[in-house]
Amino acid sequence: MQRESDLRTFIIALIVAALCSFLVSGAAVVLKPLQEKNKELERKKNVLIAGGLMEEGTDVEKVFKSIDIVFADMKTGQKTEGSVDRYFNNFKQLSTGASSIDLSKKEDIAGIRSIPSKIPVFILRNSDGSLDKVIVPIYGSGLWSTMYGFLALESDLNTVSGITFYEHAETPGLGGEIDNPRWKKSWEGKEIYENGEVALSIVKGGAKGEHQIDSLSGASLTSRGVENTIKFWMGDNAFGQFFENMKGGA
Amino acid sequence: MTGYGKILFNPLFKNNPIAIQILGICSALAVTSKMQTTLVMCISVICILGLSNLFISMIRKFMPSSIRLIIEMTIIATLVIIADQIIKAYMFEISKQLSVFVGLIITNCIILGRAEAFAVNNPPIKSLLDGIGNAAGYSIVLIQVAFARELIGSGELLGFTIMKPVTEGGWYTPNGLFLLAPSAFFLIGVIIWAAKLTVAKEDA
Repeated sequence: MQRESDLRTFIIALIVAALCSFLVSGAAVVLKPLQEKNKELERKKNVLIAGGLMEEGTDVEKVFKSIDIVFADMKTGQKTEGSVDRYFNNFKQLSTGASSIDLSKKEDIAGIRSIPSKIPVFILRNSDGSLDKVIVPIYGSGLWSTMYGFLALESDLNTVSGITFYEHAETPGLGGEIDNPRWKKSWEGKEIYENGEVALSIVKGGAKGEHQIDSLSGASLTSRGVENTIKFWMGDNAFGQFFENMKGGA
Repeated sequence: MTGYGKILFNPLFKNNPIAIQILGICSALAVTSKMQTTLVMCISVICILGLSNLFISMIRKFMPSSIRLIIEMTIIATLVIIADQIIKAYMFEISKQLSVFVGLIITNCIILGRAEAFAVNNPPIKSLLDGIGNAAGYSIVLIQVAFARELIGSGELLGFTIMKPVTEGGWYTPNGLFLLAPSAFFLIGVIIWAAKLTVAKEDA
Protein backbone atom coordinates (compact mmCIF):
# COMPACT_ATOMS: atom_id res chain seq x y z
CA MET A 1 0.00 0.00 0.00
CA GLN A 2 1.16 3.51 -0.73
CA ARG A 3 2.21 5.59 2.28
CA GLU A 4 -0.10 8.49 1.53
CA SER A 5 -3.21 6.66 0.29
CA ASP A 6 -6.51 7.75 1.83
CA LEU A 7 -7.34 4.32 3.13
CA ARG A 8 -4.01 4.00 4.87
CA THR A 9 -4.32 7.43 6.45
CA PHE A 10 -7.74 6.48 7.70
CA ILE A 11 -6.61 3.17 9.14
CA ILE A 12 -3.61 4.67 10.93
CA ALA A 13 -5.76 7.43 12.39
CA LEU A 14 -8.26 4.83 13.56
CA ILE A 15 -5.60 2.67 15.20
CA VAL A 16 -3.97 5.60 16.99
CA ALA A 17 -7.32 6.95 18.16
CA ALA A 18 -8.50 3.55 19.40
CA LEU A 19 -5.26 2.88 21.25
CA CYS A 20 -5.16 6.32 22.86
CA SER A 21 -8.79 6.27 23.92
CA PHE A 22 -8.24 2.82 25.40
CA LEU A 23 -5.31 4.12 27.45
CA VAL A 24 -7.13 7.25 28.63
CA SER A 25 -10.30 5.44 29.67
CA GLY A 26 -8.21 2.71 31.26
CA ALA A 27 -6.36 5.24 33.39
CA ALA A 28 -9.61 6.98 34.34
CA VAL A 29 -11.30 3.73 35.38
CA VAL A 30 -8.31 2.34 37.29
CA LEU A 31 -7.58 5.55 39.17
CA LYS A 32 -11.15 6.63 39.85
CA PRO A 33 -11.55 4.90 43.25
CA LEU A 34 -8.39 6.57 44.53
CA GLN A 35 -9.48 9.96 43.28
CA GLU A 36 -12.93 9.56 44.83
CA LYS A 37 -11.29 8.65 48.11
CA ASN A 38 -9.15 11.79 47.97
CA LYS A 39 -12.22 13.90 47.33
CA GLU A 40 -14.05 12.30 50.22
CA LEU A 41 -11.11 12.85 52.56
CA GLU A 42 -10.91 16.46 51.40
CA ARG A 43 -14.59 16.93 52.17
CA LYS A 44 -14.27 15.40 55.62
CA LYS A 45 -11.22 17.53 56.27
CA ASN A 46 -13.23 20.62 55.40
CA VAL A 47 -15.99 19.64 57.80
CA LEU A 48 -13.33 19.49 60.51
CA ILE A 49 -11.76 22.77 59.39
CA ALA A 50 -15.12 24.52 59.59
CA GLY A 51 -15.63 23.06 63.04
CA GLY A 52 -12.17 24.18 64.14
CA LEU A 53 -11.05 20.59 64.79
CA MET A 54 -8.33 20.42 62.18
CA GLU A 55 -4.77 20.81 63.36
CA GLU A 56 -1.55 19.59 61.86
CA GLY A 57 -1.33 15.83 62.19
CA THR A 58 -5.03 15.33 62.96
CA ASP A 59 -6.30 11.89 61.95
CA VAL A 60 -9.26 12.98 59.84
CA GLU A 61 -11.05 9.63 59.73
CA LYS A 62 -10.77 9.13 63.48
CA VAL A 63 -12.04 12.57 64.44
CA PHE A 64 -14.76 12.35 61.82
CA LYS A 65 -16.11 9.17 63.43
CA SER A 66 -16.86 11.12 66.61
CA ILE A 67 -19.21 13.43 64.72
CA ASP A 68 -22.96 12.81 64.84
CA ILE A 69 -24.52 12.92 61.42
CA VAL A 70 -28.24 13.49 61.01
CA PHE A 71 -30.24 14.50 57.97
CA ALA A 72 -32.39 17.58 57.85
CA ASP A 73 -35.62 17.38 55.89
CA MET A 74 -35.80 20.66 53.98
CA LYS A 75 -39.60 20.62 53.75
CA THR A 76 -40.53 19.91 57.33
CA GLY A 77 -37.38 20.90 59.18
CA GLN A 78 -37.41 17.54 60.94
CA LYS A 79 -34.54 15.15 61.55
CA THR A 80 -34.46 12.11 59.28
CA GLU A 81 -32.08 9.35 58.27
CA GLY A 82 -29.73 9.12 55.31
CA SER A 83 -26.31 8.11 54.08
CA VAL A 84 -23.64 10.78 53.80
CA ASP A 85 -21.58 8.89 51.23
CA ARG A 86 -24.65 8.41 49.10
CA TYR A 87 -25.52 12.09 49.48
CA PHE A 88 -22.18 13.40 48.23
CA ASN A 89 -21.61 10.72 45.60
CA ASN A 90 -25.03 11.20 44.04
CA PHE A 91 -25.22 14.91 44.72
CA LYS A 92 -26.15 15.82 41.12
CA GLN A 93 -29.09 13.43 41.01
CA LEU A 94 -30.27 14.29 44.50
CA SER A 95 -30.17 18.01 43.88
CA THR A 96 -32.03 17.96 40.57
CA GLY A 97 -33.98 14.70 40.37
CA ALA A 98 -37.25 13.54 41.83
CA SER A 99 -36.02 13.81 45.40
CA SER A 100 -35.19 17.49 45.05
CA ILE A 101 -37.14 20.64 45.84
CA ASP A 102 -37.50 23.18 43.05
CA LEU A 103 -37.01 26.77 44.10
CA SER A 104 -39.06 29.59 42.68
CA LYS A 105 -37.17 32.56 41.25
CA LYS A 106 -37.90 34.57 44.35
CA GLU A 107 -36.71 31.89 46.73
CA ASP A 108 -33.60 31.08 44.74
CA ILE A 109 -31.29 33.85 45.94
CA ALA A 110 -28.24 31.57 45.90
CA GLY A 111 -28.74 30.81 42.20
CA ILE A 112 -28.95 27.02 42.49
CA ARG A 113 -32.47 26.30 41.10
CA SER A 114 -33.20 23.23 43.23
CA ILE A 115 -31.90 21.58 46.38
CA PRO A 116 -31.92 18.01 47.70
CA SER A 117 -34.86 17.38 49.99
CA LYS A 118 -32.63 15.86 52.67
CA ILE A 119 -29.28 17.35 53.59
CA PRO A 120 -26.75 16.02 56.09
CA VAL A 121 -25.97 18.01 59.24
CA PHE A 122 -22.81 17.32 61.20
CA ILE A 123 -23.22 17.69 64.93
CA LEU A 124 -20.34 17.99 67.37
CA ARG A 125 -21.10 17.20 71.01
CA ASN A 126 -19.26 18.02 74.20
CA SER A 127 -18.10 15.12 76.37
CA ASP A 128 -21.30 15.40 78.45
CA GLY A 129 -23.41 15.01 75.33
CA SER A 130 -24.58 18.61 75.11
CA LEU A 131 -24.50 20.44 71.80
CA ASP A 132 -21.13 21.95 70.87
CA LYS A 133 -21.28 22.92 67.21
CA VAL A 134 -23.42 22.29 64.16
CA ILE A 135 -21.83 22.11 60.72
CA VAL A 136 -23.95 22.31 57.58
CA PRO A 137 -23.04 22.09 53.91
CA ILE A 138 -23.74 25.24 51.92
CA TYR A 139 -23.39 26.07 48.26
CA GLY A 140 -24.29 28.84 45.88
CA SER A 141 -23.29 30.67 42.74
CA GLY A 142 -20.30 32.96 42.83
CA LEU A 143 -19.09 34.85 39.80
CA TRP A 144 -18.01 31.89 37.64
CA SER A 145 -18.80 28.79 39.56
CA THR A 146 -20.87 27.12 42.20
CA MET A 147 -19.00 27.41 45.48
CA TYR A 148 -19.32 24.43 47.81
CA GLY A 149 -18.47 24.79 51.45
CA PHE A 150 -19.34 24.18 55.06
CA LEU A 151 -20.56 26.59 57.72
CA ALA A 152 -20.15 25.83 61.41
CA LEU A 153 -22.37 27.40 64.06
CA GLU A 154 -21.93 27.50 67.83
CA SER A 155 -24.48 25.79 70.07
CA ASP A 156 -26.71 28.89 70.07
CA LEU A 157 -27.28 28.17 66.33
CA ASN A 158 -26.58 31.82 65.65
CA THR A 159 -22.88 32.57 66.17
CA VAL A 160 -20.56 31.59 63.31
CA SER A 161 -17.76 29.32 64.43
CA GLY A 162 -16.11 28.81 61.05
CA ILE A 163 -16.58 28.64 57.30
CA THR A 164 -14.70 26.89 54.48
CA PHE A 165 -15.09 26.34 50.79
CA TYR A 166 -13.78 23.09 49.38
CA GLU A 167 -14.71 23.41 45.75
CA HIS A 168 -15.06 26.50 43.59
CA ALA A 169 -13.59 28.05 40.47
CA GLU A 170 -13.53 31.74 41.33
CA THR A 171 -10.75 33.97 39.97
CA PRO A 172 -7.49 33.09 41.71
CA GLY A 173 -6.23 36.03 43.77
CA LEU A 174 -9.59 37.85 43.74
CA GLY A 175 -12.72 35.78 44.30
CA GLY A 176 -10.47 32.80 44.98
CA GLU A 177 -9.56 34.55 48.21
CA ILE A 178 -12.65 32.98 49.77
CA ASP A 179 -10.05 30.35 50.66
CA ASN A 180 -7.92 32.95 52.44
CA PRO A 181 -7.49 31.90 56.10
CA ARG A 182 -7.48 35.51 57.28
CA TRP A 183 -10.79 36.25 55.59
CA LYS A 184 -12.32 33.06 56.89
CA LYS A 185 -11.13 34.02 60.35
CA SER A 186 -13.04 37.32 60.10
CA TRP A 187 -16.25 35.25 60.15
CA GLU A 188 -15.65 33.79 63.57
CA GLY A 189 -17.94 35.19 66.25
CA LYS A 190 -20.26 36.94 63.80
CA GLU A 191 -23.98 36.40 64.24
CA ILE A 192 -26.36 35.19 61.57
CA TYR A 193 -29.79 36.20 62.85
CA GLU A 194 -31.31 39.34 64.23
CA ASN A 195 -34.94 39.20 65.40
CA GLY A 196 -35.42 35.90 63.59
CA GLU A 197 -34.26 37.22 60.23
CA VAL A 198 -30.95 36.48 58.52
CA ALA A 199 -29.02 39.69 59.10
CA LEU A 200 -25.47 38.69 58.21
CA SER A 201 -24.18 40.77 55.34
CA ILE A 202 -20.92 41.34 53.51
CA VAL A 203 -20.10 45.02 53.20
CA LYS A 204 -17.46 47.02 51.39
CA GLY A 205 -14.97 48.50 53.81
CA GLY A 206 -15.31 48.92 57.55
CA ALA A 207 -17.47 46.05 58.70
CA LYS A 208 -19.04 46.94 62.03
CA GLY A 209 -20.85 44.96 64.68
CA GLU A 210 -21.88 41.35 64.85
CA HIS A 211 -23.65 41.10 61.53
CA GLN A 212 -21.17 42.54 59.04
CA ILE A 213 -18.17 41.04 57.29
CA ASP A 214 -15.69 42.85 55.07
CA SER A 215 -16.03 41.91 51.42
CA LEU A 216 -13.10 40.65 49.37
CA SER A 217 -11.43 43.46 47.50
CA GLY A 218 -11.79 43.14 43.74
CA ALA A 219 -14.42 40.46 44.11
CA SER A 220 -17.77 42.18 44.60
CA LEU A 221 -19.72 39.49 42.77
CA THR A 222 -18.10 36.58 44.56
CA SER A 223 -18.70 38.34 47.88
CA ARG A 224 -22.34 38.93 46.98
CA GLY A 225 -22.56 35.25 46.02
CA VAL A 226 -21.28 34.20 49.43
CA GLU A 227 -23.69 36.59 51.16
CA ASN A 228 -26.64 35.23 49.20
CA THR A 229 -25.52 31.67 49.84
CA ILE A 230 -25.57 32.30 53.59
CA LYS A 231 -28.88 34.14 53.32
CA PHE A 232 -30.46 31.24 51.47
CA TRP A 233 -29.15 28.35 53.56
CA MET A 234 -29.82 30.02 56.89
CA GLY A 235 -33.27 31.15 55.77
CA ASP A 236 -36.66 29.47 55.99
CA ASN A 237 -36.34 27.64 52.67
CA ALA A 238 -33.32 25.70 53.91
CA PHE A 239 -31.96 25.17 57.41
CA GLY A 240 -33.94 27.93 59.17
CA GLN A 241 -36.83 25.65 60.11
CA PHE A 242 -34.54 22.82 61.12
CA PHE A 243 -32.60 25.07 63.47
CA GLU A 244 -35.83 26.32 65.07
CA ASN A 245 -36.89 22.73 65.74
CA MET A 246 -33.46 21.89 67.07
CA LYS A 247 -33.53 24.78 69.49
CA GLY A 248 -36.94 23.64 70.74
CA GLY A 249 -36.00 19.95 70.96
CA ALA A 250 -32.41 19.87 72.12
CA MET B 1 31.17 13.26 23.73
CA THR B 2 29.46 10.38 21.95
CA GLY B 3 26.37 10.95 19.84
CA TYR B 4 23.97 9.71 22.50
CA GLY B 5 25.57 11.70 25.29
CA LYS B 6 25.45 14.81 23.20
CA ILE B 7 21.73 14.38 22.52
CA LEU B 8 21.04 13.97 26.21
CA PHE B 9 23.30 16.68 27.63
CA ASN B 10 23.27 19.40 25.00
CA PRO B 11 19.78 20.67 25.87
CA LEU B 12 20.73 20.97 29.54
CA PHE B 13 22.81 24.11 29.06
CA LYS B 14 24.17 24.69 25.58
CA ASN B 15 20.83 24.38 23.80
CA ASN B 16 18.49 24.88 26.73
CA PRO B 17 14.83 24.94 25.59
CA ILE B 18 13.89 27.92 27.75
CA ALA B 19 17.10 29.94 27.86
CA ILE B 20 18.26 29.43 24.25
CA GLN B 21 15.27 28.19 22.26
CA ILE B 22 12.82 30.38 24.28
CA LEU B 23 10.18 27.62 24.39
CA GLY B 24 7.81 26.73 27.21
CA ILE B 25 7.86 30.12 28.93
CA CYS B 26 4.15 30.01 29.77
CA SER B 27 4.31 27.21 32.33
CA ALA B 28 7.59 28.60 33.68
CA LEU B 29 5.58 31.63 34.82
CA ALA B 30 2.62 29.78 36.19
CA VAL B 31 3.90 26.97 38.37
CA THR B 32 7.12 28.38 39.82
CA SER B 33 5.91 30.19 42.92
CA LYS B 34 6.71 27.11 45.03
CA MET B 35 9.42 24.45 44.74
CA GLN B 36 7.09 21.55 45.45
CA THR B 37 4.65 22.22 42.63
CA THR B 38 7.55 22.99 40.35
CA LEU B 39 9.20 19.63 41.02
CA VAL B 40 5.99 17.72 40.31
CA MET B 41 5.56 19.73 37.11
CA CYS B 42 9.15 19.01 36.06
CA ILE B 43 8.84 15.28 36.68
CA SER B 44 5.58 15.20 34.68
CA VAL B 45 7.16 17.06 31.79
CA ILE B 46 10.22 14.77 31.78
CA CYS B 47 8.01 11.66 31.64
CA ILE B 48 5.63 13.09 29.06
CA LEU B 49 8.26 14.54 26.75
CA GLY B 50 10.44 11.41 26.92
CA LEU B 51 7.55 9.09 26.19
CA SER B 52 5.91 11.26 23.54
CA ASN B 53 9.21 11.49 21.67
CA LEU B 54 9.68 7.72 22.01
CA PHE B 55 6.22 6.80 20.74
CA ILE B 56 6.19 9.33 17.94
CA SER B 57 9.60 8.14 16.81
CA MET B 58 8.44 4.52 16.90
CA ILE B 59 5.56 5.16 14.52
CA ARG B 60 7.32 7.84 12.47
CA LYS B 61 7.67 5.54 9.45
CA PHE B 62 3.95 4.71 9.37
CA MET B 63 2.70 8.22 9.97
CA PRO B 64 0.98 9.70 6.89
CA SER B 65 2.27 13.26 6.63
CA SER B 66 -1.21 14.66 6.00
CA ILE B 67 -2.35 13.87 9.54
CA ARG B 68 1.05 13.96 11.18
CA LEU B 69 0.32 16.83 13.59
CA ILE B 70 -3.02 15.40 14.62
CA ILE B 71 -1.45 12.07 15.50
CA GLU B 72 1.33 13.77 17.44
CA MET B 73 -1.17 15.84 19.41
CA THR B 74 -3.31 12.78 20.12
CA ILE B 75 -0.34 10.94 21.57
CA ILE B 76 0.76 13.95 23.62
CA ALA B 77 -2.75 14.60 24.90
CA THR B 78 -3.14 10.96 25.91
CA LEU B 79 0.08 11.06 27.93
CA VAL B 80 -0.86 14.34 29.58
CA ILE B 81 -4.31 13.13 30.60
CA ILE B 82 -2.83 9.98 32.10
CA ALA B 83 -0.23 12.03 34.00
CA ASP B 84 -2.97 14.36 35.25
CA GLN B 85 -5.08 11.41 36.44
CA ILE B 86 -2.11 9.88 38.26
CA ILE B 87 -1.31 13.15 40.03
CA LYS B 88 -4.96 13.56 41.03
CA ALA B 89 -4.99 10.04 42.46
CA TYR B 90 -1.70 10.02 44.33
CA MET B 91 -0.86 13.69 45.03
CA PHE B 92 -4.20 15.32 45.66
CA GLU B 93 -2.96 18.40 47.54
CA ILE B 94 -0.45 19.21 44.83
CA SER B 95 -2.97 18.57 42.07
CA LYS B 96 -5.18 21.23 43.64
CA GLN B 97 -2.36 23.75 43.44
CA LEU B 98 -1.33 22.78 39.92
CA SER B 99 -5.00 22.84 38.87
CA VAL B 100 -5.17 23.35 35.12
CA PHE B 101 -1.46 23.57 34.50
CA VAL B 102 -0.85 19.84 34.19
CA GLY B 103 -3.51 19.71 31.50
CA LEU B 104 -1.86 22.66 29.83
CA ILE B 105 1.33 20.64 29.30
CA ILE B 106 -0.46 19.60 26.09
CA THR B 107 0.09 23.11 24.79
CA ASN B 108 3.65 23.37 26.08
CA CYS B 109 5.54 24.33 22.96
CA ILE B 110 8.59 22.26 23.92
CA ILE B 111 6.69 19.01 23.54
CA LEU B 112 5.28 19.45 20.07
CA GLY B 113 8.46 21.33 19.18
CA ARG B 114 10.71 18.36 19.99
CA ALA B 115 8.31 15.92 18.34
CA GLU B 116 8.40 17.89 15.10
CA ALA B 117 12.05 18.87 15.21
CA PHE B 118 13.55 15.60 16.38
CA ALA B 119 11.31 12.58 16.90
CA VAL B 120 9.88 12.44 13.38
CA ASN B 121 13.35 12.13 11.89
CA ASN B 122 15.28 10.06 14.43
CA PRO B 123 15.23 6.52 15.86
CA PRO B 124 13.40 5.79 19.13
CA ILE B 125 16.30 5.63 21.61
CA LYS B 126 17.79 8.87 20.38
CA SER B 127 14.36 10.52 20.52
CA LEU B 128 13.81 9.30 24.05
CA LEU B 129 17.14 10.79 25.11
CA ASP B 130 16.39 14.02 23.30
CA GLY B 131 13.03 14.24 25.09
CA ILE B 132 14.50 13.58 28.52
CA GLY B 133 17.39 15.98 27.87
CA ASN B 134 15.13 18.82 26.78
CA ALA B 135 12.69 18.28 29.61
CA ALA B 136 15.61 18.24 32.05
CA GLY B 137 16.92 21.47 30.57
CA TYR B 138 13.45 22.96 31.03
CA SER B 139 13.40 21.65 34.60
CA ILE B 140 16.78 23.19 35.45
CA VAL B 141 15.51 26.65 34.57
CA LEU B 142 12.17 26.10 36.30
CA ILE B 143 13.86 24.95 39.49
CA GLN B 144 16.17 27.97 39.51
CA VAL B 145 13.20 30.30 39.10
CA ALA B 146 11.16 28.49 41.75
CA PHE B 147 14.11 28.51 44.16
CA ALA B 148 14.43 32.29 43.91
CA ARG B 149 10.68 32.89 43.99
CA GLU B 150 9.88 30.76 47.00
CA LEU B 151 12.89 31.96 48.97
CA ILE B 152 12.38 35.65 48.31
CA GLY B 153 8.59 35.56 48.08
CA SER B 154 7.83 33.60 51.24
CA GLY B 155 11.15 32.92 52.97
CA GLU B 156 10.69 29.18 52.53
CA LEU B 157 12.12 26.31 50.50
CA LEU B 158 10.00 23.21 49.84
CA GLY B 159 7.73 24.49 52.60
CA PHE B 160 10.48 24.68 55.24
CA THR B 161 11.09 28.11 56.71
CA ILE B 162 14.56 29.37 55.80
CA MET B 163 14.16 33.04 56.63
CA LYS B 164 11.56 33.61 59.33
CA PRO B 165 9.04 36.19 58.11
CA VAL B 166 8.04 39.16 60.25
CA THR B 167 4.44 37.94 60.47
CA GLU B 168 5.65 34.93 62.45
CA GLY B 169 7.97 36.88 64.69
CA GLY B 170 11.10 36.68 62.53
CA TRP B 171 13.11 39.36 60.77
CA TYR B 172 12.42 38.80 57.08
CA THR B 173 9.84 40.85 55.19
CA PRO B 174 8.71 38.66 52.28
CA ASN B 175 8.67 40.31 48.89
CA GLY B 176 5.16 39.65 47.61
CA LEU B 177 6.11 40.50 44.04
CA PHE B 178 7.99 37.23 43.81
CA LEU B 179 4.79 35.28 44.35
CA LEU B 180 3.23 36.91 41.30
CA ALA B 181 3.83 35.84 37.71
CA PRO B 182 5.73 38.98 36.57
CA SER B 183 8.65 38.13 38.86
CA ALA B 184 9.22 34.97 36.82
CA PHE B 185 9.48 37.16 33.73
CA PHE B 186 12.30 39.14 35.33
CA LEU B 187 14.10 36.02 36.54
CA ILE B 188 13.79 34.21 33.21
CA GLY B 189 14.99 37.37 31.48
CA VAL B 190 18.12 37.36 33.61
CA ILE B 191 18.65 33.65 32.98
CA ILE B 192 18.27 34.08 29.21
CA TRP B 193 20.71 36.99 29.28
CA ALA B 194 23.27 34.95 31.24
CA ALA B 195 22.82 31.94 28.97
CA LYS B 196 23.20 33.94 25.75
CA LEU B 197 26.30 35.60 27.13
CA THR B 198 27.94 32.26 27.95
CA VAL B 199 26.99 30.65 24.65
CA ALA B 200 28.23 33.67 22.69
CA LYS B 201 31.56 33.48 24.48
CA GLU B 202 31.92 29.79 23.70
CA ASP B 203 31.12 30.34 20.03
CA ALA B 204 33.60 33.19 19.64
